[in-house]
Amino acid sequence: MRYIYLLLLLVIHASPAAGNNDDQSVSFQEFTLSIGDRVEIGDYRAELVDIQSLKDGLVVLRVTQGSKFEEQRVVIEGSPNSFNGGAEEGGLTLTITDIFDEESAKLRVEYRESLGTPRKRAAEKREPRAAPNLVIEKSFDKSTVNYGEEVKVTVTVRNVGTEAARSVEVYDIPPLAEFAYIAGYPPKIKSELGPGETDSAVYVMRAVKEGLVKVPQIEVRYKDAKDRIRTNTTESFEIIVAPPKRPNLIARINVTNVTPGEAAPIEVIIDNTGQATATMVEVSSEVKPPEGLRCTGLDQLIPEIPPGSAKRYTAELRGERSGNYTITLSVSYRSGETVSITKTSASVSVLEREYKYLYYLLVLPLMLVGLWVYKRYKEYKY
Amino acid sequence: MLNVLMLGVGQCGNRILDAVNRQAFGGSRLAKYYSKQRFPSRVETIAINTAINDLKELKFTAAKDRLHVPNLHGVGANRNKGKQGFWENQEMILEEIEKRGDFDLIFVMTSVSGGTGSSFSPLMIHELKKRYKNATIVPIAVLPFREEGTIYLQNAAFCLREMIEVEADGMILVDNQYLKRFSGDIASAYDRINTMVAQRLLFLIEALDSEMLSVTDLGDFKTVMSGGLRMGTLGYYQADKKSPSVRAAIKNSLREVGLLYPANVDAGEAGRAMIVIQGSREYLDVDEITKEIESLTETIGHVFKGIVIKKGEPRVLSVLSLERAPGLVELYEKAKWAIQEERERKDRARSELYEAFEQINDLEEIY
Repeated sequence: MRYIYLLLLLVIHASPAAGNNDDQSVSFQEFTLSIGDRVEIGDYRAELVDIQSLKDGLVVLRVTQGSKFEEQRVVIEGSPNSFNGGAEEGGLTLTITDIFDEESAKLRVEYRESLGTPRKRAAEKREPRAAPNLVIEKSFDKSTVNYGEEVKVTVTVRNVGTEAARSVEVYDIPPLAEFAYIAGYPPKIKSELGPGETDSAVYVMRAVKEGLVKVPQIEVRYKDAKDRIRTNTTESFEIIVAPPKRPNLIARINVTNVTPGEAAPIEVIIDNTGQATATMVEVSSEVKPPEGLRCTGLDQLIPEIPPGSAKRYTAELRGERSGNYTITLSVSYRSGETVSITKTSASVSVLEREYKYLYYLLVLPLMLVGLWVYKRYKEYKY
Repeated sequence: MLNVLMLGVGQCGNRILDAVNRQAFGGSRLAKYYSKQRFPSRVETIAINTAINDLKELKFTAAKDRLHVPNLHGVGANRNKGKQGFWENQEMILEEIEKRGDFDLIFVMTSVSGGTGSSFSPLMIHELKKRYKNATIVPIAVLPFREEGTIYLQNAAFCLREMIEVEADGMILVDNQYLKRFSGDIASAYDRINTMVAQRLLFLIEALDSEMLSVTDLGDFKTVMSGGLRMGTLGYYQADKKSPSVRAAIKNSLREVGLLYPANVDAGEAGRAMIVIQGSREYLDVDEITKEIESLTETIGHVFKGIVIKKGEPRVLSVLSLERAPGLVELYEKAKWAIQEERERKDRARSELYEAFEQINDLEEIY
């Protein structure tokens, strides 16, 4: 163990420290620079000229040494670049270690300590950087979409940047399965939008499926003056396609029992408890068994029944033969292209004629007396 | 129980029979529609007539008890025609009677002055005597109003004689002439007389067929009716609450006013009598009744008495046979005169007719 400690001390003592070499030693320091800022070391100046591509990590640097040396170079992020021989040769070695945005990046500066201490000098007057900036929005004209309803979708692209955007393209894909696209899809935006300019495209689609629909983000892609491709997207959001408004007809039958030969009214009430108007309402009746009970005026054709209202009518019922019967009403109606049928039924009895035999008991004595008197009359009639 | 046949022959007999039937119903006009006839015995009634209209006017006699003798529309008070009709139909008539069974007592009710009754009755009695040998046959002979006409008078005279000749078991006389004093008009007089006769006959039948305190029976009746002239009559009296004396009732029943044929009992015109007394027990003092009956025997040869206990004031029926009948002698005198008068009138009319015919003797019709 003792030997391991001794060995480590020897290694530490023997290795030369980068910053501790008085003349030849190289040191480094990192600076966060905005475009136009520079670092001064001795008579060297390293300036961040431009961030050419944030996506590709291309940055433009310029190094000058008085009048003796000047070089501007596009460097790649993470790659050390030697200027005027590099730090080993008395020059500078510069590395972009990070690009924050299109305006700023982190620069690592390696230098001989003999050059002095590097200092950051901010740009005296920073010119605003001209660039396009497209903001894209997608909106529906209805907050709630009902099944079958048409909805108008507006895609708006606004250039909030300071430079014109070229080759503007909107990618509104994929098409939603919950909608049928009727007109205007895919949306088309002017290919070039100047600063502050807005363009919008409208397309119409109809909800064909109920439920929660996730509307995905759409993207606008464009180029700036330097042909750099820029993109922007909307946030995705969700909308609900509500079930369609339909009429709902409920038929009721009010009927009383009858006796053979007797007529009675039968009242039919058709209520529309739905949210849409029922049209072409056709009422057809069926009596089972078919013989013995006659219904007149039960079949009807009603043009429409608005929601919340009811249609009443009265038909006639005439008993012909005693028995139990079932009257079934089939009510078919339309709502748009949809045809619905509702059925209701009621039982009615044609009662046996009730004979009040007790009355005969009252008459019976009179009949007997009458018969007796007649018998006597005949007995004494000559 | 007695089996009684009541025959009403001719219009008068039919009406008396109808009155009997009405009394059997209780007397009410409508009783036949709701009530039942209550005869004291088994009584069969038959109305016989040649005139169908006379049968039709009956109201209380059942249709089956009305017998029309066919092919005759009345006999027009002609007894010869009536007799001929009887002989031609006697089998039918008697067969109809025999259908009713056997009888103990037969009343033949008839007017002696009419056509059908006066001609049928003697012959019918004769035939009934032959067929019902044990039956007591008594005609109820109604005498006419004397002013009804000569034919009726001569019919009465001959009919009465024939009924005696056929040896009926006595005869009960009813004199319309005598009884019409009870009513002002003829129609109501007939009704009243018929009702009186009907009540007394039913009382008599009841008396002959009842359990009695003191018994009178059919034999007594027959004995009474066979006495004297074999003619008799019926007397009746009903006491009221004010004077319920049974002795007075007996006396009143024998007074001329209570008889169907006028007879002076006190003058000895009654030969035998049957007195039937009916009433509540408190009214029927047997001693008094006996005393009264005994007093009657001083003027009447023999008196049968019968006492029937039945609720009510005393009712008395007296059956008399006559020893003398001055009224009948008078009737026959009138009948004789009537016959002569009729003959003279006929001769006179015939001679006048012949004289008229003589005016055309030796003449011929010229055309």
